[in-house]
Amino acid sequence: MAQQITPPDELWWLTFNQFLIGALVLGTFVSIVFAYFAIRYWEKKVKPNEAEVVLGPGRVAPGTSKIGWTRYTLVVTGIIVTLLILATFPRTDYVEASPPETDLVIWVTAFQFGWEFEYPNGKKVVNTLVLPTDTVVEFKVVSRDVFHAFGIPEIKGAKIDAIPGILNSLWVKTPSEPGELNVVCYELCGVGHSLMVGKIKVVPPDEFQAFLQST
Amino acid sequence: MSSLRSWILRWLTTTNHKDIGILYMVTAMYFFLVAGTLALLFRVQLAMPESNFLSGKAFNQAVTVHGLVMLLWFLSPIQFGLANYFVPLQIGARDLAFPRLNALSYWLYLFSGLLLIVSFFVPGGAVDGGWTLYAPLNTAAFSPSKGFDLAVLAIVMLSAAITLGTVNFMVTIAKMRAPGMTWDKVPMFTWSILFTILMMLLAFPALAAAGLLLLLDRLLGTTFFLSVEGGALLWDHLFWFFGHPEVYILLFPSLGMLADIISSFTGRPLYAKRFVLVAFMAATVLSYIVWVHHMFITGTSLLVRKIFSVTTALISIPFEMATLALILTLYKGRIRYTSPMLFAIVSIPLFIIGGATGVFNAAIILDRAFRGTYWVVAHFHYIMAGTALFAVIAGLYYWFPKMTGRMISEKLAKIQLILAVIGINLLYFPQFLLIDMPRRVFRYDYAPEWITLNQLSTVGAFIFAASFVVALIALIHGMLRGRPSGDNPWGAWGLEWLTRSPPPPHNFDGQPVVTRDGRILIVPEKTLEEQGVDKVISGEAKVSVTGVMTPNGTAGHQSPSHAHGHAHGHHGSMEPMMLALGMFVAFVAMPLGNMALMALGALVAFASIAKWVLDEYRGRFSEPEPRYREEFPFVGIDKFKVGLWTFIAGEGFLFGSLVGAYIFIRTRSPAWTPGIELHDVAIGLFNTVVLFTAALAMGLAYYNARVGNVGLQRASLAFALALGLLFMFTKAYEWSKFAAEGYGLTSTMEAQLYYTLTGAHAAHVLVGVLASLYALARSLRRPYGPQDARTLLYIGIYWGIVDIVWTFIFPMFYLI
Amino acid sequence: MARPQLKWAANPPIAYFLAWAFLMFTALVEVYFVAAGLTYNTLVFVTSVGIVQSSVIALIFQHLREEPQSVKAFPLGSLVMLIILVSAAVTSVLACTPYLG
Ligand code: HEM
Ligand SMILES: [Cu+2]
Ligand SMILES: [Cu+2]
Repeated sequence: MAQQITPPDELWWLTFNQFLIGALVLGTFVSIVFAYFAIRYWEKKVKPNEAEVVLGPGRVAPGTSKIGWTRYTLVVTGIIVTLLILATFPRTDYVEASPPETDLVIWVTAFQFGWEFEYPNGKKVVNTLVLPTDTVVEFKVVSRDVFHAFGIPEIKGAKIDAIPGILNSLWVKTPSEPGELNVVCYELCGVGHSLMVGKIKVVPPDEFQAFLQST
Repeated sequence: MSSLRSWILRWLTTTNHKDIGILYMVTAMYFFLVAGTLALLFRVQLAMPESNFLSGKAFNQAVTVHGLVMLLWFLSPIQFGLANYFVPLQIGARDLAFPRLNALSYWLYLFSGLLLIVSFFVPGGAVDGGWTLYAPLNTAAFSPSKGFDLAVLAIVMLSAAITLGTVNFMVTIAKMRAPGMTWDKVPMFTWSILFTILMMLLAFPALAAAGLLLLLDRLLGTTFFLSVEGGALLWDHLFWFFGHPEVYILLFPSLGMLADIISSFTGRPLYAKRFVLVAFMAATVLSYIVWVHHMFITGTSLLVRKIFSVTTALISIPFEMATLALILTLYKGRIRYTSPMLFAIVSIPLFIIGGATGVFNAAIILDRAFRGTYWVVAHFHYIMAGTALFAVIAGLYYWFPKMTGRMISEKLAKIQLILAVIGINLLYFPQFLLIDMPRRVFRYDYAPEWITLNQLSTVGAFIFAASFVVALIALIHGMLRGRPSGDNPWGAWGLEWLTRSPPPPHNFDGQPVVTRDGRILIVPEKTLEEQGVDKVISGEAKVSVTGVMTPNGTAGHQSPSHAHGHAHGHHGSMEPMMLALGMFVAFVAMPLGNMALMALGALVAFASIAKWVLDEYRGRFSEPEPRYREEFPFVGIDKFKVGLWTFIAGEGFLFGSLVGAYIFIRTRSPAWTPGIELHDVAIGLFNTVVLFTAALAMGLAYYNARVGNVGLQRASLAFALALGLLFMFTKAYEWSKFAAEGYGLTSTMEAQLYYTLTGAHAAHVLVGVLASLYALARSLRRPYGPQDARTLLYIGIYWGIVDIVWTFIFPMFYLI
Repeated sequence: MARPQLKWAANPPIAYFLAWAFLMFTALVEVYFVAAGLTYNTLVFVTSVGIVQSSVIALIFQHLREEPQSVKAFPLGSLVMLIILVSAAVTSVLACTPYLG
C-alpha cells in the first residue's frame, strides 16, 4: 500500500531540478550576452566605427523606447516562469493535502525549547520520536507558546510552521532503511532556538510495534 | 576655537540638502561599521559547530541588530544620503522642497538609530527576536528586555522620519524640476527615488501601525500579538506588507544609480528607458501584492498562497527587463572601466544570481524547503549585500569628486573590488548549499556536513570585511590626498556635473534649462525673462550659453555675482535636532519608567515644535517656490497641497492598517460582543455631529477668508476650535466613565481595540485642535486674506481626514 | 498656470451647508436603522454609509471635487492598496484551522 505513494520530497526534487534547468538556461544566456558586450565594447577593444557614443557632458539622456528583441526575451521568460509556477500547483495540492492513505498520525507540540510527540495510542515522548520504516506519517503540528517551525532537514520540503492557536499538518513518507533523522526548529523562538533539536529514529515495523506497546 | 564652534553649529543646524546628504552618508557608514562588526562576531561563532564564542542570547542579539541596522539604518539611509545630495542637482533644483523638514528627517533617523545602539546597555540587553520580530516572541511575556522596547520605539521613530522624507522627495521631484526637464528626461536615479518613496509611502505606515500595537502590548499590557485572535499571523501580515516593499525600497535606488553610471561610462542612454520605467512602475505596484510569499508555510489559505505565488513569479519579469536594459546599454558603447563602472558592472551578475533564486522561492512547494534556511539568506544577500551595496559603492565613487572636488584612488578601489568580489561569493555561495541549515542558530553539532561550508562562509566574511577596510582607507585618502578632480572628471552626462565641485550652496550659477534635444544650458534668469522659457527650451532663443562643457571637460562658470539673486536664505535651524533629541531622551526613559527624564525629553520636543510653529507664524523660513520649473502633473498646485496629500495618503494607511488589524482580529473572534451592546451610541452620535460640524466650520472659515469677511472668518475658526475641544471633552468623559466601570484598556479584546483606535483618532483630533488654535491666533493678529487662505484649506483637509476616519470608527465601535 | 481659477462666486457656502446637512441626516439614519434592527446586513450597511459619507467629506470639505486627477490619485491609490491588504489578510486567515487545545 504505502509503497505506491509518491513521497513529497521526490516531487520537491523534481520541481527543483526543473527550476534549476530553467534558471541555468536563462541565466547562462543572459550572462553570456552580458560578458560578450562587456568585453566587446571595452574602449580598448572596440573599433572606432563600432561605438556610437551619443551621450556626454552637458546633455541629459533622452527617454528611449527602442526595445527590439528584448521584448521577445521578456515574453519567453514570462511564459517559462509562469509555466514553471503553474506546473507546481498540482504537486503543491498533492503535498499540501492530507496524504492519500495515512498509516500513522503524530501530534507534535512545539514548546520553548523542545518537541513533544504524541502517538495515536496516547503515548507521549519528548524530543525523540520513533517511527517505522516506509510509512506514511501525518504530523499535526501546534505550538504551546511562540512561533516555531517544525522541520526535518533530511527530507526536502518537510517543514511547517507551529503557531499558537493554529493547527497545521504535514505528511512525509519515512525512508525504507532504518536510520536517524533530525527534527529542527526553523523559526527563531528565543534563546534556546538552536538547541531545539530532536531525533527521529526510523526502525523496522516490528521494533516500532514493540516500542509503541512499551511504557 | 570659535571656528570649531561654528563648524559644529553649522552641522547641527544645517538645512542644506547637500550638507544633510553628507550627514546621512557619514551616519549610515557608522551604522554599517556597527552592523558589520556584529556580522563578523556571529560568523566567528558559526565557524565551529559547538563554539562558545557567543552565548545564545548574544548571538540572537547580534543577528537581530545586524539585520535591522543593515536594512533600515544603513542601506536605505546611505541611498537617501546620495538622493539628498544628488536628486536636487540632477533635476536642477536649489534644494529640497522643505529643507527644515528634511533636517528633521535626518535627525529623527540618527536618533532612532542611536536608540537601537543604546539598547545594548539597558537591562535585558538589545533586541533579540530576529529582524522580523515575529509574534508572539516579540511580546513582553516572552521577551521582557527593555532593549526590545527601545528597538520598537526606534522603528516607530524611523517610520516617522521616512514618512516626512517621502513627502519632501515627492514634492521636490514632482514640482521642482528645471525648465525642460520633462519626465522623459529625468535621470534614472531620480526616477528610482520617486518609485522608492511611492513604496515607502504605504509600506512604512503598516510597519508603524504594527510597531504602535506592539508598543501598547509591551508597555501597557494589551494582547494584540499575544492573543490567538491577533497573534503571530496578524504580525506576519502587517510586517510583511511592509517587508516586501521594503526589499525593493532597498533595491530601486541602486538600480537607478547603476543605470546612470553605466550610461555615463558607455556614452549610451539607458536602453529602452521608457520600458524600464514601465517595468519599475509594475514592480512598484506588484511589490504590494506579493507579501504572502513570506508566509508560505504558515498554513494560510492555499488559494491565497497560490495567487501570491503567481504574483511573485511575475514580479521577476520587470526585474529581468531592468537587467537586460542595463546589459544592452553596453551595446555599441565605448566602455570605460573606471572604478565606479567596475563596481556597477560587477553588480549585474550578482543580481542575476539573486534574482534567479528568487523565482525558486516563489514556488510554494520549493519554499517548504527554503523557508527559514540559509538558502534564503544567500538569496537576499546576493541582492542586498551584492547588487544594492555594490551599486551604492559605485555611486559613492562616481559622485565622490562632485562632493569633495577630489578623486578616489583607482588603485585602492580596484583592490577593494577584488576583495569584495571574492569575499561576497565565498561568503554567500556556500550558503546556497546550506539549504537545510536553519537560520539564526548558533550551534549545529548534529550536522557535521555543514561545518566546511560554514567555515568557507566565515573566511569569505573576513575577506569581504577587508574590502571595506580598504574602502574606508580609499575614502579618507581621497578626501585628504586625492588628486583634484575638476568639475567633471568622468566626462559624465547630467546636470550635476555642470556646476562646481563641490557645488555652491545654491547649486548652480544660473538657472539650468534643458532644451528639447537634451542639451543643458545654465542661463541667467534675466535671459529667461527676456527670451521666454519656451523659446530657450525649444532652442530658438539665442542665449549666451554658460553651462556647456569647455573642451577640457570643466564647466564654464559665470561669475557668482550673476547668481546672487538665487542665493536664498539658508537659515540654520536648531529645532529639528532639538526635537529629535527630545524624543530620543523621552523614548530612552519610557521603558525604563523614568518619569522625570521622560518629561524633560517631552518638554524639549514640544518646545522645539512650538518654536518651529512660531517661526512659521512669523513667516520666517518661507521658501519661495522656484520661478521657472517643470511641474506636470501638478501644474499650478501649491507645493503644500501636494505635500499634504502625500502625507495624508500615509496617514490614511496608518489608520487603514489599524482598521485592518481590527477586522483581522474580529474575524477570528467568534464570540465578539457588538459595539452597540458595549458602548453608548448616544455619546458616539453626539461626537459624530460635533466632528461633522467642525468640518463645516473650517469650510466656512476658508470661504470667509477668500471673500474677505474677517469677522465671520474668526467666528468660524473659533467655532471649529470649540467643536474640537468639545469632541475631546466628550471623549475624555466617555473614557473616564468606562474606566470607573472597570472597563479598561486591557479588559477585553473589544476594549483593547476600542481604546487603541479611538485613542489614535483622538490624537489626530488633538492635532486638529492645535492647528485650529494656531489659525485662530494668526487670524486675530493678521486675518487670512485671499492670498493666504489656503492655510485654512489645508487645515480643513486635515479635519476632513479626521472626519473620514471617524465615519468608519464610529460604526465599528458603536454600531456593529 | 493653465488651470482655470476656482470660481468662488459660483461656489457659495451653500455646498458646505448641503454637505453638512447630508452628513447629519445620514448619521442619524445610520444609527436609527441599526438600533431599530432595520438593516438587512448591518456590516454592508454601515460600510456603505461610511463610504458615502467619506466621499462627501472628501469631495466637498477637502475640495477634491476641484482637484485634477493627479491629486485625486493620492486618496484613490491608497484606498485600493488598503482594500487589497485587508481582503488578503482576512481571506488568508479564514481558511486557517484554529486550535485552542
Ligand atoms: C526576482 C525577484 C524576487 C523574487 C521572486 C523573490 C522571492 C522571494 C521569496 C518568495 C522569499 C521568501 C522566501 C522565504 O522566506 O522562504 C524571499 C525572501 C527574501 N527576499 Fe526575495 N525575491 C526577489 C527579489 C528580491 C530582492 C530584489 C530583494 C532585496 C533587495 C529580496 C530580498 C529578500 C529578503 C530580505 C528576503 C528574506 C526575508 C526574511 O525572511 O528575513 N528579494 N524572496
Ligand atoms: Cu525555534
Ligand atoms: Cu518578499
